[in-house]
Amino acid sequence: MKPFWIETKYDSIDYQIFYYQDLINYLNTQSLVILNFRENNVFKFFCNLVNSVINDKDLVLFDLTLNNEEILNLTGQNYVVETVEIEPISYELDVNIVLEKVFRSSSKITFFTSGTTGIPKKVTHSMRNLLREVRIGPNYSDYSWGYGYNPTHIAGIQLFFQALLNQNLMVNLFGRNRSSINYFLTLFKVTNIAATPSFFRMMMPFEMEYNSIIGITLGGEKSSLDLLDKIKKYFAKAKVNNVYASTEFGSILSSKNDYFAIKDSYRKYVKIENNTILVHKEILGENFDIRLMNDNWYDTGDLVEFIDDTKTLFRIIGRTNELINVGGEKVNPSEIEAKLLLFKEIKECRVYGIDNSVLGKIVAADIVFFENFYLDPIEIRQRLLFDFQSFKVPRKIYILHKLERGKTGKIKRK
Amino acid sequence: MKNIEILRKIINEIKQANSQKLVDHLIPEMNLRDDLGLDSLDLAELTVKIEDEIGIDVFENGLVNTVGQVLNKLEGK
Repeated sequence: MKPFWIETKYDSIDYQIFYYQDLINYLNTQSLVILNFRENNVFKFFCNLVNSVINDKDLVLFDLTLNNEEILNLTGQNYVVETVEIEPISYELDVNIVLEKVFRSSSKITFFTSGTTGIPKKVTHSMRNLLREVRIGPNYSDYSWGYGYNPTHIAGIQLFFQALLNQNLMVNLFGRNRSSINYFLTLFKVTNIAATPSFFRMMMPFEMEYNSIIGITLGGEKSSLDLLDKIKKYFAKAKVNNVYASTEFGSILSSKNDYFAIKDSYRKYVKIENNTILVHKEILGENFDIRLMNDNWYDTGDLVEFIDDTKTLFRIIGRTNELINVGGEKVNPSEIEAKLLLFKEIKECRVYGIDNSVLGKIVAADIVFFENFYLDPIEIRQRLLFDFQSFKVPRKIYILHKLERGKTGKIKRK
Repeated sequence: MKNIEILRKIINEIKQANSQKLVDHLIPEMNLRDDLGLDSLDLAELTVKIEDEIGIDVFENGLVNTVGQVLNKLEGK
């Protein structure tokens, strides 16, 4: 019996195994599809998701931990469960039939996104769009996944289909603590981990060498070179895949490093203009913000810097809407964060602007040190002054035990 | 701690971060820019730190030039 999903808890070594047969049994007996599922039960969420998709029903995905008030704020309405009856079929489903139906599904899935700032908005993707980057084949049949994404967000859904369509095992690591993660990676001999850079930062300092991991996918946020270097060091046997993706358009760029190039097959969908990444509406989900469209091109707001003269290779260095205006001078917080993360004492940081009656904004930083490490804020500033002009250096530094995170596990930007 | 001491402490934090000489004592006549060598960024930082500690935004109603004027603002004048 092939295992499908391992359910875990935050800080325990208890787990529950669900098999592919359990999923099939559900599909053969459950005649009701919930179109706006929100029980905090990931196995059931996935079963319902597959049931909807094989019956070509459209779904709206809510974060499974949202409470009633949060849903009211998100949708403008009180939550009312919506279900639909599925037509009974005359034959028993088996795994192969189910996977074929998933692959051919015409369902649309609606996600909520707020990214790191801003108001939540809905984005709808067809299954065709969601399966665009899925690779199926014998090479993938022995993979097992450390599942580090939120299952109701686009990265989680894309990972789910990648694993499902190859009948791989997934181990729930999303939101789990460091020792549980290490325990389960070893216990289940996980071969691949897919998660956000924040997930990997939470795993640091890496306490062991992970020799059974052959693949790591990082995505959903900007990765920094220092993180990629650490990952390559501790996951020595892993191929590292750094993915640039968003809820609006899924994943469109991937790299083994912190710099990217646009694949030939994507050249008609992705381009760089004024050092910003633009994406063609052809690969966007529906309900995109029309104000961000210019002649069929969507401005992602992601800033790049070319690293070569031919302007083919680029790094993503920040976002246009995050720039801090200090008395007319613009500061890119990502640039400062990247430098801070190179200090061996600093585990995590967030750089942002605070209001100021003299200059409009000045730069501030929240800093979390590694355990037993400390740097005096004055020393931090003096070090930064080596590389940055004075207006870019955080003038107010807060030392915290941890940074506030949103529902994806991403650090919240103020 | 008296306001003048708090102000001196904050000014010295700024000067130390800038690798500048610290001040031993403050007198009300001292001009923040000309005598204490603070630039706009330093003044911006000064306001934020004073507000954090004392709860008053010294520059809220326009620029303030001397130590004495800052102290007046802190005393609600």
